[in-house]
This record gives sequence, C-alpha cells and structure tokens, in this order.
Amino acid sequence: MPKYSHQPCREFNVVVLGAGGVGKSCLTAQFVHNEWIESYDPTIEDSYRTQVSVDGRQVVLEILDTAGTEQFVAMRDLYMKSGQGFLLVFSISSKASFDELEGLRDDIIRIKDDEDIPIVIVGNKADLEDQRAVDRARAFSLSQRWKAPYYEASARTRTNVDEAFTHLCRQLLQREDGPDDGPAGPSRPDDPTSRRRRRRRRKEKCPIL
Amino acid sequence: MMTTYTRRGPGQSFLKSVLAERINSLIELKDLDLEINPLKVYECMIEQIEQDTGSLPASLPRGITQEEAAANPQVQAIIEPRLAMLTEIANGFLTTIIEGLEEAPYGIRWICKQIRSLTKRKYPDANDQAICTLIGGFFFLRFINPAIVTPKSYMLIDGTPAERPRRTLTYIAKMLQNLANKPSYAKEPYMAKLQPFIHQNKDRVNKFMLDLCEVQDFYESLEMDNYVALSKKDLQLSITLNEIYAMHALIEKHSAELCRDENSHLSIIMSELGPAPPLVPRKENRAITLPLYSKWETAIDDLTAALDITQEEVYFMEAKSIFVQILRTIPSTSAVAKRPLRLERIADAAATSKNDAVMVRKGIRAMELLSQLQEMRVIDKSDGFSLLRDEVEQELQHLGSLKEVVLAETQKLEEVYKTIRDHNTYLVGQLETYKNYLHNVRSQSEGGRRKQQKHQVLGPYKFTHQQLEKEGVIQKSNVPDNRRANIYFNFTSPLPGTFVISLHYKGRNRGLLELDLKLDDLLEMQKDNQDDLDLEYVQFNVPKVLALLNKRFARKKGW
Repeated sequence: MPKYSHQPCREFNVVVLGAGGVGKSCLTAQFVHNEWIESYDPTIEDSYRTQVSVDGRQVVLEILDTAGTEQFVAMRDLYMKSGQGFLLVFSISSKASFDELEGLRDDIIRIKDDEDIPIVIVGNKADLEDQRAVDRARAFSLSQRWKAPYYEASARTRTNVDEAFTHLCRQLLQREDGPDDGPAGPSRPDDPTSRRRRRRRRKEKCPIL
Repeated sequence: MMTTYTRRGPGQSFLKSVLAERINSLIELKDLDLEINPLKVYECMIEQIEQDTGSLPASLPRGITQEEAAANPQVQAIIEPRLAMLTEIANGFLTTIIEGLEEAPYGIRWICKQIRSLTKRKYPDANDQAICTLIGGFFFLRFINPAIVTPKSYMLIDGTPAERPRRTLTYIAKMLQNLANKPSYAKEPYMAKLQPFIHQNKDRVNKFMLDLCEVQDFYESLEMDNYVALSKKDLQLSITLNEIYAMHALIEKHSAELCRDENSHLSIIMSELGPAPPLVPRKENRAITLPLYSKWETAIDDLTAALDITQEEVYFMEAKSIFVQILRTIPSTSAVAKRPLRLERIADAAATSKNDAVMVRKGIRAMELLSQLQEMRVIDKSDGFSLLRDEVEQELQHLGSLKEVVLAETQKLEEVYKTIRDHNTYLVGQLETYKNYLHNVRSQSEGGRRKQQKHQVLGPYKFTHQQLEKEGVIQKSNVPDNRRANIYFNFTSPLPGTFVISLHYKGRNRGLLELDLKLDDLLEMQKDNQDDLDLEYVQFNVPKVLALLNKRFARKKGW
C-alpha cells in the first residue's frame, strides 16, 4: 500500500511566515491539497505534511503555517527554531507586508545563527495586478541583496505555488548534500549548482510565467 | 496599534481574571497529550511500539499518508477520548470568557461595537453571523487567543509551558477561533472532528459577541461634538492683543522648561516669533478674531485618510452625535421623541426651537448633514434614514435621558455644596474662637507687663564662645584662636520679645559690643532665609539663635 515506505526519504521542516492576510494559508493549502480557500479563516497554527519529488528525489515536507496576526508575534521564535527552511510571504498589494520581511529575516538569522539559511521570498496575490503596491524591481533588489530567490505567485490562480515550495526544497537538499554546495554561496564551477542557479535566474526574470 | 491597545492595563487584567487560572491548571499537567493530528498520533504510537517491542509489525509501516493514519482504528481509539477532553477544556474556557462579559474592558467592547456599526454601514445586508465573524476576528483573534497560545508574554504565567500543554493551548485557541470564523477544514481535515463543539456553542458565542457591542459611545466622558469640531476647518478664536502678548511673555519666561526640545512645535514657533512684545496700554488693547489653523496638521482630508475613514463616515458620526444630543436635551415625552424616530422632524423641531440658540444651531447642522449624507447616498430618505435612525435609537437606549443624568448630577453637586457650606461655617467658628483667644492672651499679657515690668528682666545668661560655636550658634568667628577662651556672651531679655546680646572679654566689666534684638526681626530674617546675624567679631546663625532664645527664655513666663 505505501509505495514509498521503503525509500530513504528526506524530511524537512518548512515554516511559512509573513504579515496577516497575505495568503500564507492559501498558498500552503494550494500546494498541499490543491484547494482554494475562499472564506476568511485566520490561522493560529496549522501543520501539513506532504511528499514532493524534487529533481527526482523524494522529499517529505513538514510545513508549519503560522499566524500572521501581529498579536501572535511571541510564537515566532519557537517556529524559527524548529524551521530548516522559510517561505517569507508578502502581498504585492500591501507595501507594509513587504516591509515586514526584513525584520523576519533578521530574526531568522539571529535565531538560527546562520546567514545562509534557506529562504524563498514569495510575493502573493500576483493576480491583483491592478492593486499592486510593491514594484517588481523592489522585490528583485531585495532578492539579490539576500541572495534568496523571489517568486511572484498567486494562490488564487495557483501560479508559481509549486515552484516556490520546490525551490525551497532544492535549497534544503543542496545544503544537506554538502556544505560547500550552499545555494547562497558565490557561483562555483561544479556543474549541478551552476545549472540550478541558471534555472533560478530564468525564473526570476519571468516569475509569473 | 491594536497590540498596544489589547495589551494595555485594563485588557491585561481582564485576560488575567478570565484566563490565568485555567491556563495555569492546564500547564501543570505537563504530560497530558491531547494531540489529535492522526499522523502525529500514529507516529508517536509506532515509536512507542518499536521502543517496547524492538520492532514494528508489517501492519504498521512508516511514512503513511494523513488519510491512512486517520483510518487506522488504533489511532482513532487514541484520538476519541482526546476529542472529548479538548471539548471539555475549551468549553470551560469559553464559559469563563462569556461570564466575564461585564469585566471586559470598555475600550475592547467599544471597538467591537464600532466593528458592528461600520459593517452595518458598509454592508447593510450583512447578517449577524457575518458581523460576529468580524467581531471574533478582533476579540478572539487579537485579544483572547494570543494570550492563550503565548500566556507568558501576556504575563499570565511565569514559566514557558512545556511542549504538550503548549500544543493543547494551541488547540483551545484554534477551537475558539473556529467558533468565531467559519472554518474551512481544507487546511487541517482532522479538525472537522471538533465540529460538534462548534455546533453546540455557536449560538451562545454569537450572542456573547453581540452583547460585547452593547456599550455606549463616550458622549458622557468625552465631548464628542468638541472632537468633531476640532476636525473641522474654519475655526476662529476671539482674543485680545494683550492676552496674546501676555501668553507669549509667559511662555518665554518658562521657555527653559517648555521648549526643552528645540524641534518641538512650541520651540519652533517661539524662535520664529522672537521676544515677546510689551503689553499695549489698555486703551489700545483690542479683541481680534484669529482664524486658527495648524502649521503641522494637514487638512481633514488627509486626517480621514490617515485614520482610514472616509468623509462620509465623518459626516455620519457627526450626524449621529448631533441627533443623540438633540434627543437627550428634549423631554422624552415630547412628540418628536416617539419611535421610530423621524430624523427630519427632529432636526426641524430643534432648528425652530425658541430661546435656545445652541439647539437651533444643532438643528440646522443636523438638517445639513441629513441632506449631505443623502446626496452621498449613505442614507436614504425613502426608508426614513433607517441606517442612521437605528444607530441613534440604539445609542439612546444606552444613554438614557440626559435630563435625568443632569438632575442626578445637580443633586450630587448640591450635596457637595452643602458639605462645603457646613465646613465653611465650622471654619468661621474656629476663626472666631482663635480671635477671642488671641484677644484674651494679649490683654492679659499687657496687663501683666505693666504690673511686673521691673521684675520682668530675664537673664543675663552667660555663654562661652566655645559653647556657642559647638552648638552652631556661631557660624563664623573672626576672633583669633588664642583669644577665644576669653570671650563670652551675655543674653538678656529686658522686655518680652526684646533681647540684648552682649560680647564680653574676660576681665573687663563693660561689654565690647551690645546688640539689641527684637524677636519679630529675627523671625522676619528667618522667614526670608537670612541666616547671618552680624556681631562684627562673630556671625550668628539666625535659626540657631532663635532656638537658643526659645530654650532659655520661653520656659519662663512666655516671651
């Protein structure tokens, strides 16, 4: 019955962080259950487990979807401690949600004591282009500064949802494969890394497609 | 902003009173495991089996899916009683919270009320369920639940809860939040098992959230109309030149205190204005009308944007406030106060009321606002302005009649007045007594003095230089050290209130120096903090001299 039960699966803890109402739960539910949540159902703390295939390797993701509501800020430290990779989500229609990312990353780096902790930046609600409040250029410059990939995604239209999560998995796998192979390090001559990096570049240039 | 608000004193003590006990008794049970996520339960179970037996049976493989775990009968057997337990605990929490209604801080309740009003205005068709969802989005999501999941940061407990109680608390918060919001079990399907809790409590929690809204606006404590006035343009102030100049001079005088921060608004104004001009003669002093504006504040349009409210809402609030004021002023038996309220008639009645200019102004403003709001399509004449009318009626229910409030207030003030008068009478009586007493003392001492004038001389009392220096009476001496032993002082009181201090040198009969002192002068000097009494060769300390005189002479027959 369980076809993958004997495969040596890697398991990673991924934490989804970001301001309230940016769509963390919607992204996660789309990714895990292929489902769009219509109702307003603020999250306190939800956990998901899912198995994905990344570059032919099976990975189990334990995803922790967190409260964006500012009053729950005291829970963040605990989440950051448990997380190995982070999806930092903002809404392209809210400048404030974008501005919050900086502080979140600082906290993650402080708590993990690791500058190269795998992070993927997601600008959600890309379908609401007419309400855009965060320039693509700004998000990209943040992405470059952090050396963290950026995706413009839409949970509503299921755009770039898998890509963002998969990319985070890829970073986590690379990190586990060898410390010299870190995704955030300067470009290296060794083949798989640079290939991956190329692929990432391509995505960054055309994040919606 | 909301965080600051919800964490303020009153909010904090409410949280403490409704939550602290339950949370504390829960976190004492460190090993109580109420996990109901089937995957987690399954994993925990097989780990336990492996530990106990050393191996895993083929029927319990690793890495199964959520659905497979949920279908496992052993897992179900573990989860079943936990669901009941969680439900019981959550019910307990909910009951305490609901019973705490009257202790809920006014500010929190007022915010809930505003959420209801704004929702009704924006979405007139919104039903109670939708409104409760939004209130729950504030009350539970931002106030109650953060304190449940992180009680330490709300100072409800001392330590950090252990992993299992922490998880239980998270479940309780999730359950309470699900009560407030329609949960989509798309996120965590296993939470659907707790649906009975939601069905059982939906009604009482909705009633509770609507009850939360039943508080009055702050007409009583804050003058709402004044606040509204402040947000208006075209404010004017009638003031005389000298009032301005005097104020200017006063601020200038205390600028060290008032303008400490040179970037403060007052400092900037003061440095721009320069020194205060002198007051003009009374004849030239005039009252002028100053249009007021703030150099720093931008106009109301930006204010509304900053507060995230629209001009319509400002008008609506003002209209509501004016109607409430009008209705509370007129007698409740008056024809226009009958329900349902007919706002146009009320405004008209106020505008045409006799001998009350304030009321007339309010009536006219009310009429203007009605037509403005109608133009903006916020309210509709055809349904009797029901949106505004309902809110006004609701508000009045909480406020009651202003007349009764004023009457009660008057009665209280009269009582205070009476108390003050009684006290005044008492004080006047006291004063009379003292006057008589003083009179007696004076006439007695005068009479006595005349009789015994000759024998009244007290002293002389002799003090050595060393003695007085030791007691601090001499605070500075110009007498050379080797001569000090030969110096002494005589203190004499020839008359009550008069003293003679003379400085003597041993071996000589006549004093080197004599000083006549009146008690009044000494007291005067002490009052003015003049401590030095100069005797040429030595300086006395006034308070010490007084103390000495007091000690030596007062014991005898008064001064």
